[in-house]
Amino acid sequence: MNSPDRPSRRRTGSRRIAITLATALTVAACGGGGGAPSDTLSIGYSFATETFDPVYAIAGAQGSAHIDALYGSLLERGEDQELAPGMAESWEWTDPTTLVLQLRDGITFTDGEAFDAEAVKTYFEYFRDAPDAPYGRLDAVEEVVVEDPTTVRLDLSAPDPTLLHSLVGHAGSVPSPRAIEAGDLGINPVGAGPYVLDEGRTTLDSVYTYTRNPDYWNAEAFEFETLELRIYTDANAMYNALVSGQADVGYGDASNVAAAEGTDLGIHSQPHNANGIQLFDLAGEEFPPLADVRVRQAMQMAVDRQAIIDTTFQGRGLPSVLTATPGSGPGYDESLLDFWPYDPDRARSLLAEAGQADGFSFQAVTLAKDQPMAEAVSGYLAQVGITMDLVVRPPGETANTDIGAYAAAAAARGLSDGYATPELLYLGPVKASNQRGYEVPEIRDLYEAMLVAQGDEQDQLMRDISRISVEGAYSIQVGYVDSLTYYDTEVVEGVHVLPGHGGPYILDGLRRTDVT
Amino acid sequence: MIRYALRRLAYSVPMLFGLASLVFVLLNALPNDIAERRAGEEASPEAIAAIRADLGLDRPLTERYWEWVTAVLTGDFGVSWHNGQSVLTGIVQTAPITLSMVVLSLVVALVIGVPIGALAATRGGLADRGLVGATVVAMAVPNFWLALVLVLFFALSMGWFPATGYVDLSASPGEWLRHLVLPVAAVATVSISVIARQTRSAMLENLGRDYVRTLRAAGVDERSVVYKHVLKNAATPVLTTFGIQFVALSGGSIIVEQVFAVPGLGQHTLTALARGDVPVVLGILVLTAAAVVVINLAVDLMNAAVNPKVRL
Repeated sequence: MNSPDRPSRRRTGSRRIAITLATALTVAACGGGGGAPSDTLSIGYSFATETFDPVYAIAGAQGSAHIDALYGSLLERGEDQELAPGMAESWEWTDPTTLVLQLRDGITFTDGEAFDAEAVKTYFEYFRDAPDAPYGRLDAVEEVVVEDPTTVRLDLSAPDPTLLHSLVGHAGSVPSPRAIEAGDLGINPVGAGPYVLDEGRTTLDSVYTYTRNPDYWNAEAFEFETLELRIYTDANAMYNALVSGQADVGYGDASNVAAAEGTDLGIHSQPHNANGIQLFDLAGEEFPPLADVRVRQAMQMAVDRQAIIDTTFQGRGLPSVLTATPGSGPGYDESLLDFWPYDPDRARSLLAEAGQADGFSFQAVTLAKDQPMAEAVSGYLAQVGITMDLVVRPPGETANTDIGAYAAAAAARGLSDGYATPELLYLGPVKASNQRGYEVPEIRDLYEAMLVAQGDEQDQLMRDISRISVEGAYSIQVGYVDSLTYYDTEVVEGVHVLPGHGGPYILDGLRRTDVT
Repeated sequence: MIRYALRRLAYSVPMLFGLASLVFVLLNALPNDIAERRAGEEASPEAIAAIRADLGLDRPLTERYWEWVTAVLTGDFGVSWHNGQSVLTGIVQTAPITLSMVVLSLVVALVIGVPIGALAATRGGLADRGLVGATVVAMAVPNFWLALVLVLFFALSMGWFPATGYVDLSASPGEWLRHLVLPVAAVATVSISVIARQTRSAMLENLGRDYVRTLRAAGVDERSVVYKHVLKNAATPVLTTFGIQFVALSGGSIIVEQVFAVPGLGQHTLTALARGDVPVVLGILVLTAAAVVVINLAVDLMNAAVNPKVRL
């Protein structure tokens, strides 16, 4: 029936398989690495870009990485956040509503099209006229005039102090006019920036590989041949990738900073998002007590900001009543940080003065991520008799979905713009932090004056607006929470994060370590 | 047998159709509005309406459903709402990654699980109890926890294997294997236990049968009895388990992919769900459901090939 030696032959067979497997695993374990590591900079991000179209791409250090790499920028920021020339060599306001940009000569897009005044005009018009641009800030641009191949003039309908700042951002990231015409910029980007997308080595939502563009106007400033933008949606996976050297730069959070401190990773930390409860029902439509400034001031003094930073944010932050982030512009006035010190007794007497000695209740909405902060605030308010009922958003919903239906919302916002836009200053229209379009007349006057003012006068007006916002107690701020950037000190020398931003930008945010 | 296979496939058409329709309706009934989300924080109602019109969300559900069904029948799954990528391209890019992880896990589970089961069944006593106990423990360990422990020890402390990522087989077979060792270990542990236990009980059942007594009485070598006859007869339930494990592993790998940042179908699905990217989610669900049908059919056919008693 069976030859007696068959089972043993089989055993040899399975042993052979086992040995082959073991060898393969050993080879696999020992292999890897390879290549000159310093030629590639690998950066970890927590979310993938939706699109390569600068009009629609998410702003901020993470979202802009692709846009900066592909397109560069008309204007950039220097060491101290002052504006610096980029693909525009210079700029000049000939009057408050006319801006003239002088472009660098001889730049071409990677599809061979010329980077000139016509290309910039095509893009500005495309940006301005996009019906659903999420970060559109070229509304004031009435006409774009090509004066000569390297000179563009912008005629505005009204003064706009944010325009130059927009040109540092995506409004200044000019794609090839041919790519704009083709209509598929979102997936087939063509620019004249420091890097070109390597589609063969790119998997959307996972890894984006960029190779250096030797024809970029400032190519020598970009020393890494290859840029890998890797997406780690799981914070723990990002941390593991950083510790094991798979990513050279990436983001950390309060949950892993203590562990990171025990590794060789470089850690850069600075105050970032302003956390707090934004009040929308400032007119007291549903909850009349909220319309009383004394009640709102009492709420400010009921909250122990330092304690919340220490417990909810593990001490990684700075208590503050301001919304503008540190260093972001004149609106960040240090003398106001502790304008409303923790004083529950004073809060109670203010409430009594306002006829609310027995307290009242109102509703606030929060995302799950902001819930611990919101609960902490709610706990302090409860001690002076105010009940803040929290409605927690189901996962997947965003901060802005119909929040105006609630009287207030917990939020973590990075308001980096020195000259904040009207919607952030309690001047209609209905927008993110001012859902019911509440308007403070005093701020309106200062704002209008600021639009036409220049230099120190403009800065002073901005500080005045900040102070009035704080005195009016329109939002219960807790403070700034630190952003954390981890990096491999053997690859990058350090990271430079602009005030108010969550991480380093590709343009000028990362310096290569000198390997000599 | 061919007729059986065709009949089975024909049955699955209305099932797939029903499933796809149900999912289409459910996904479109979700309360959160993709247009609002895409429009960003400072969007005007006009901008939101423009996006809605662009995505076709302003049209009635029945009309959109009909359009989707007819397109899918021609193999067109549409494009992602999120980044404009073809749904099929996204699946073709990510599915092979998950598939290589799952197939490798199953191979490992078979290579390790069957011998463990056979050993437990034939040895009995302490070895049996020990092995059975070990499988209970292994089955109780959640795979994401195991994944975290594996990363901590083998990637971060020892540095033997990469902590995250994936390398394509065609780019570097060595690196491909090296990147898959830890995810596969995390995923395969439960399958090893399930297959071992299934093998053990199927073999024990067969060892008590009359034909085994007859074989032994005829003086057939014990090894031959166990490996040639009993193991072959025990294969049917093990193969069925194998098929179930294939499906279970594909689902179970979602979290493990997250831990190891493996850009597979699981991550792709999670990302699409979180973004409310309806076309992508629909495409993945329909194609995975179709794959499950095909796998179950393949298992049945394999069963018939191994065991002539299974009549199709």
